[in-house]
Amino acid sequence: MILLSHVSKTYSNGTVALNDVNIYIEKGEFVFIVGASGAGKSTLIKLLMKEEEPSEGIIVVNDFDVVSLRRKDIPYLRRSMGIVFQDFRLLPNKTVYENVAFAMKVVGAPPKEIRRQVPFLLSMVGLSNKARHYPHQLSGGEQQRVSLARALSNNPSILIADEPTGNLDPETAWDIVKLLNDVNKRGTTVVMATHAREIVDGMKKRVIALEKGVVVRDEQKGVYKYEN
Amino acid sequence: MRISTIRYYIKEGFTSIWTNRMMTLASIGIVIACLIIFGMFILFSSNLNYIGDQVKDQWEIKAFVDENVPDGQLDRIRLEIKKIQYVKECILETEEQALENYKKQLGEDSYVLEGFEQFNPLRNSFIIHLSDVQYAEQVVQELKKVNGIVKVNNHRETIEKILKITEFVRMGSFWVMVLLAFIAVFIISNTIKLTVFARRREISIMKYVGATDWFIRWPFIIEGMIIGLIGGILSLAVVCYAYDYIVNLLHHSISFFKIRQLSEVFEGMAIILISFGACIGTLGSLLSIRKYLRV
Ligand SMILES: Nc1ncnc2c1ncn2[C@@H]1O[C@H](COP(=O)(O)OP(=O)(O)OP(=O)(O)O)[C@@H](O)[C@H]1O
Ligand SMILES: [Mg+2]
Repeated sequence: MILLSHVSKTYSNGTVALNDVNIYIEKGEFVFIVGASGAGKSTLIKLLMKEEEPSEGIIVVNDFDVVSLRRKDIPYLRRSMGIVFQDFRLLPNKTVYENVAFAMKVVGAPPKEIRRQVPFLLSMVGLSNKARHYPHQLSGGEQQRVSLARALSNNPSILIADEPTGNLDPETAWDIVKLLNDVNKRGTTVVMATHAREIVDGMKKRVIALEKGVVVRDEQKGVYKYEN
Repeated sequence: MRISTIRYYIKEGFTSIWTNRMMTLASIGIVIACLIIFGMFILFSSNLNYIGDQVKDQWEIKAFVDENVPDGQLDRIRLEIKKIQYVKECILETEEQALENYKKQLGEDSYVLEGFEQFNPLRNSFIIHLSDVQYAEQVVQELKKVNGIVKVNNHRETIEKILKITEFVRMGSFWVMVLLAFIAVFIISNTIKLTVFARRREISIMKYVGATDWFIRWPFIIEGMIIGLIGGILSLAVVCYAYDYIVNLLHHSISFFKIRQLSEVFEGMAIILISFGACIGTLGSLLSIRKYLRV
């Protein structure tokens, strides 16, 4: 469950990234967040994981009151969601395998489960043959898929993906979205920020459109953009 | 905590030490430099203590007996002295013994005393130890009243001066050591900060995937501890070797006071230097990552 109520974010340099945003996403939903570059999609995600603080408003994720969350409780908020970062954020001196395993170690998963789960996740995103590679030896799309495998590693109740198909060819992009759809069918809430018109139009899911930090459209079975 | 998690901390700690070996060497060097100075101060003040104790032990009042008093009266005088409050011990030193001791002190030059046995110019005396040094003056006054005592020697003032100086130096070196500890932690944390700075992105990523501060800290703590331990052991070797050398040098020139042998101080020294090294390494490491955990 995700709730944003009258949320605004003004960065310290004066840029208004979000302006009075109200969004409620129920458990188990699949939601696209669309909008031009600079519309505020990534900012929204950063607020949810408490990487940035809102200037105003209330944010609730699962059972966490994100705004008033104490510093020492932030890790537990982040563990309750899996995040695919737009800039991947892989550990540069760890292999693909170790990157995914690391996220599981952090939450104290038993080694046996890690050894079972990581190869499974890597095959799911089609990277089994790259397990021993380091991030700098991978293409952008491959790094993105490692980031996705990592986000799924702890079976989060919410999966947030910031342009997870941004660097992928259309075919691989569809594979990834189908994967997200499968994850969603198993009960995980999926929030995906994207520019991919064909995918949004083809999936017929809820679409929230941002424009200059304002929610201009929020509809079920929406499309990327209406032609004027 | 899981065994596998602890194993992870240790492995990461060692990996980091090896990956950043130049920084590791620099940090160990700093730890060694600080601990050597630290160790020398400890040895210095420990020897001052030791000398202070010797001074206290050797401290005594000497009461000289009139030459005209026949030897038969010595026992009576001794009993009278023993009756004085705060007198713990009263030992007779006969004129012959006094001459013997004097000869011993002169060593090779004792030939100048040849022939004095017949006309011993020294006097019988009593060496008096007190149960409480505080009442020395009072005891001296009482001694002077005893029939047959002509002169009372009391070096209390000199000895108090020496004790005051040792106390002063001891306090001084304590604060120097505290200051030194601060400086060591500061320098080490700044050295480690160089590698932490290079790893700040890595640290932030760990936090973004839900790592707690302690999960990130432990490998750094282990890294700092190992640096401190290695520095502690190496500085121990240097300090002990140097001390042994100095003790052997002084052995021939100082006979007035005893100084501590290496074997007497080694154990305490080892415990202090190694545990202190581990502490400053750990503390320096902790301080260096503090800033980068706030994401
Ligand atoms: N750390 C920051 N400091 C100042 N301004 C920022 C910061 N991060 C983002 N912005 C600004 O906030 C606005 C929203 O940025 P955001 O990254 O949320 O856009 P986005 O919708 O994710 O764009 P894209 O599709 O290109 O990823 C932009 O105008 C951007 O320049
Ligand atoms: Mg973005």
